[in-house]
Amino acid sequence: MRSLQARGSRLWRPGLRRVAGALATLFNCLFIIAGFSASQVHAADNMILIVPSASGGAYVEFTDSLQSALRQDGGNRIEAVIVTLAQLRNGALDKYKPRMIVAVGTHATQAVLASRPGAPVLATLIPRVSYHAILLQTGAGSQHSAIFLDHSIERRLRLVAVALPRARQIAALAGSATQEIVTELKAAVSGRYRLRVRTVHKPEMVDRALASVLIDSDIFLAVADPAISEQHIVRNMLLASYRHRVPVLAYSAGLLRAGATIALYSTPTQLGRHTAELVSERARSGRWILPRAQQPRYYKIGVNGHVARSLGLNLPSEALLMKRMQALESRQ
Amino acid sequence: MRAMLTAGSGLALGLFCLPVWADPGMPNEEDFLGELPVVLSATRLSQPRSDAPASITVIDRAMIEASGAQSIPELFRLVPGFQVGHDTNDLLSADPIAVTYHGLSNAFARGMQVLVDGRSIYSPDFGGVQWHSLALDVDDIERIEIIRGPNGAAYGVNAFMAVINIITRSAAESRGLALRATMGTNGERQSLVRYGAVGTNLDMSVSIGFRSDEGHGSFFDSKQLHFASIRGEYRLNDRDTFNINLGQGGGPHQAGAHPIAAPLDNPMRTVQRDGDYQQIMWRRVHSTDSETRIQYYRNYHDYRDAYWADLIGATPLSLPDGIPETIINQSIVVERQDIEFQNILRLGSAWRLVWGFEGRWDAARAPQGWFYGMAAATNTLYRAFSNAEWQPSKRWTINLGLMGEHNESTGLGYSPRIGLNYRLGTGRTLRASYSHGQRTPALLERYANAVLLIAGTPVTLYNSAPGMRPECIKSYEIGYLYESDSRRSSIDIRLYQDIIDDLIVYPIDALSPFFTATFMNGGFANIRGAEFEWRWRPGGRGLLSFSYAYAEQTGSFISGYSNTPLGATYVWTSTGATTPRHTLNLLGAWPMGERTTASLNLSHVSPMAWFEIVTNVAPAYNKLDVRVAHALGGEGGSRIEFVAQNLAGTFTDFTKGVTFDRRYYVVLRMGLK
Repeated sequence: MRSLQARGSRLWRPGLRRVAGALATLFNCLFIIAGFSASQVHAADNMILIVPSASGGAYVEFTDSLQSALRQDGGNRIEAVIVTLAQLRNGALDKYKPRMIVAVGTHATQAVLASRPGAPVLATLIPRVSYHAILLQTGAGSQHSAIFLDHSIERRLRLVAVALPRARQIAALAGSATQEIVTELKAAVSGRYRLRVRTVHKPEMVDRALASVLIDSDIFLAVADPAISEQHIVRNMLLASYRHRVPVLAYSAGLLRAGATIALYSTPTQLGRHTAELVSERARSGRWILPRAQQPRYYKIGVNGHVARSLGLNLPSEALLMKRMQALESRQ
Repeated sequence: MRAMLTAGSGLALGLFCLPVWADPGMPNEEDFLGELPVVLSATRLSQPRSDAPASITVIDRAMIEASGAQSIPELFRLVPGFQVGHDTNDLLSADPIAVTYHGLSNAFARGMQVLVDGRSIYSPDFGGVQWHSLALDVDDIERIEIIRGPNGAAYGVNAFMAVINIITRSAAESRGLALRATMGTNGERQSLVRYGAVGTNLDMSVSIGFRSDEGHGSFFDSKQLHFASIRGEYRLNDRDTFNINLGQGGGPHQAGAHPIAAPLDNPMRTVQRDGDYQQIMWRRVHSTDSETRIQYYRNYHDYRDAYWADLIGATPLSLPDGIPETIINQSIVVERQDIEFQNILRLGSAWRLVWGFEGRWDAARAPQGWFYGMAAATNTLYRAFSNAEWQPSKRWTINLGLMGEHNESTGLGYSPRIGLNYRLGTGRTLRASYSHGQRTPALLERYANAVLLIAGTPVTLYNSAPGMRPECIKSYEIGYLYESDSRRSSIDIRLYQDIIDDLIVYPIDALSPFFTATFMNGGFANIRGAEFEWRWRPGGRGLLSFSYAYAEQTGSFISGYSNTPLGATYVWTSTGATTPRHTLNLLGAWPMGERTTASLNLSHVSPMAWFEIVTNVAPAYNKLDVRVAHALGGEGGSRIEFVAQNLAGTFTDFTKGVTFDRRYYVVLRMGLK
């Protein structure tokens, strides 16, 4: 600046210098205003896309919860736009320049990751093993993370400790898709519980496998695996564990109502809230780097009183169990 | 970069053009967020023992196998206070087996309601259960629940002394093909083929079996039975399920006195028995604790036994000995049809209600024998029942039951029941209950008209007094239940007093020319006792079950009468001897190595008489059975077993003369999945 002014002082007349000065100030102001408006545009750039796998049901519950939580976080002015899979196919990613894409459900996660978006992708409403399988399928691409539907083995074992403190042996059944859960389970229980776990490859194997793991077990940890989640297999599992007087720890409200004894699960509303918090944290820091894939932050503990009573189990109330769980978790 | 992006999107578009399904091999959000039909519904969830107003004994699969029992009645020795008596060579019916609770019975132990999957198998003609001709095998049984004490409010009349509920194995439990072959002393041969298949909507299992044996030593009582049954469960949708059970069985049975004793009114012959049943049930689950059920079943039994006989001795019209003079026709056809409606619902957080009504039609045809000249002896019954479970607090459970019944033969009757359960804490429960039970007379007791034609003259052997009342029982009890936290150990103690009245007896009229026996109300008894049951499951394949019952019975019944012109005079005899003082059972199983399990089953029963001949007291006996089972490996649970029974010495459990000596069996089980 100085050198220009120096050069300028030889060429320009004093009057013109004043005009130039005024013009410079004007241009500066304009730049500042432009810059300001630009940042207004950038404020609207705190935009995320939400891609649900389908319409209705749990997806709507999730997106409603997510959107309302984001709206309440006024400070960060996050705009959430819902994009259907069809729109995604038609190049919605190019039209919008989102900071982040929230894929809701397995199908959406697969579709979004396969489309190689530039923005980081947060997969939600997806089981852990499915998320890992999709990653393997689509390969390394955009930055990605997830909030799983299932809770860690550690958390589930904490519920066992809180609900059935005298339990000594845990039974579980898995399929070929959920081997990583078996590994984690084996590592987590060592020293604390005896573990009886079997992997089932064909539906015909389920009954025998169940009978062998249920003997002398104090609780059965239900695992969501396609090999064992067909309705009539779930039915046989509930009947067999009841026959063996073994309570079932379910991963969903549906399974609890069907006949499990206790359940640890998260509702789409809770998951929406967790997702919103994650997004807000990113917007606040300005750095849209996703955290590690994680289990849900918020959860519900359910007890099926009829089944518990019929099994002769004196379980504490849902509220008390939650209190104890939270106390345990805060200590970790 | 840009070019690659375009290319990338093009590829992506290509991917989207193909159907991109979520991988079927992976779980998805549907598994976690979707709805499932209720499986453990109100009827599937049994009332916990601590809430039940009575002592409940459960014999499960592990105990059934450890017992080494080769027939179903043997299993009841494991229940505190139960006795099993084997009669043979009885004029009334081939080889009745009596299963009694607290004694006080004859060979047709009528004081118990016995159900198989909700269908009563009580015989409406003579009462009792035809254990021999059941189209059911020990291996078909998943577990047996025995409610000790009258339970009319829930199970209707004839749930007099106890209720036995036999639950068969579901197809899911016994998937695949299972074969069993048994060979034993006494000509014992058994074979069973079972097949179970489970599908998305339909589960089905089929059992086909055959058994034969040569009966007891010197008696002419060998028998054979072939049977088949089908059990199916069809799930129409999330709420509606249909259960269909069909069965059929039958076979020949030798009867008649031993040739050397040779009474010609009971010659050696073969009788034929056949039966079948059909049962259909519809269940609709409204919610976790609300369910409706409608059931229909039909039992049919046909017993054919007609022969020429020579009546010996005193009958004045009889011809000289050696000339057959009459046909004794004991053939009888019995049919029972039953429809029942039941609804379970929850009224508020503290009240649960089970209510329903039932209609039952019994008919027995024996126009040439027991019901001479009658087209059929029939009884129609209508019953309304309800049982409310009230839990005013966490510690209290109150059961209130009431049943009202009207039947053709005895009119209107009521059976109330009240039970109070108080949880002392950590698995300990105290219980007090009072219940009222009734036993409607069996068709024979009510309508007996057994007539023989001797030289053209009708001679009445059995008849019934008019205006017969049902037997009634009032039962008071105090109980204590302890269940350990791990549910590995439990103790059940019961103290009771039963007051029984209007016992139906059949004394012989001493003055009748033909020794006519008349069914009439003529007896009462008072039973007081204590029962103790301890179960222990240390884990693995071990188990220990100990039952002990102490009973004192006083009472009297009409054992004879004379119908004089001046009125009837009665001879009363004490019933005291018909209830054994002590009944004890010890069952233990323990593993011997990886694949072998050994078990021991010991019973002791004090001296006990039966009503046939009350002075004929069967002495105290001990029964010791030992079983060793060795797993043969493979997927199907194949194994071989050796059973030795009656190792504590020869004994009789009914009348002297029918003795049990040492028996050995080899059982081979093979499973193919």
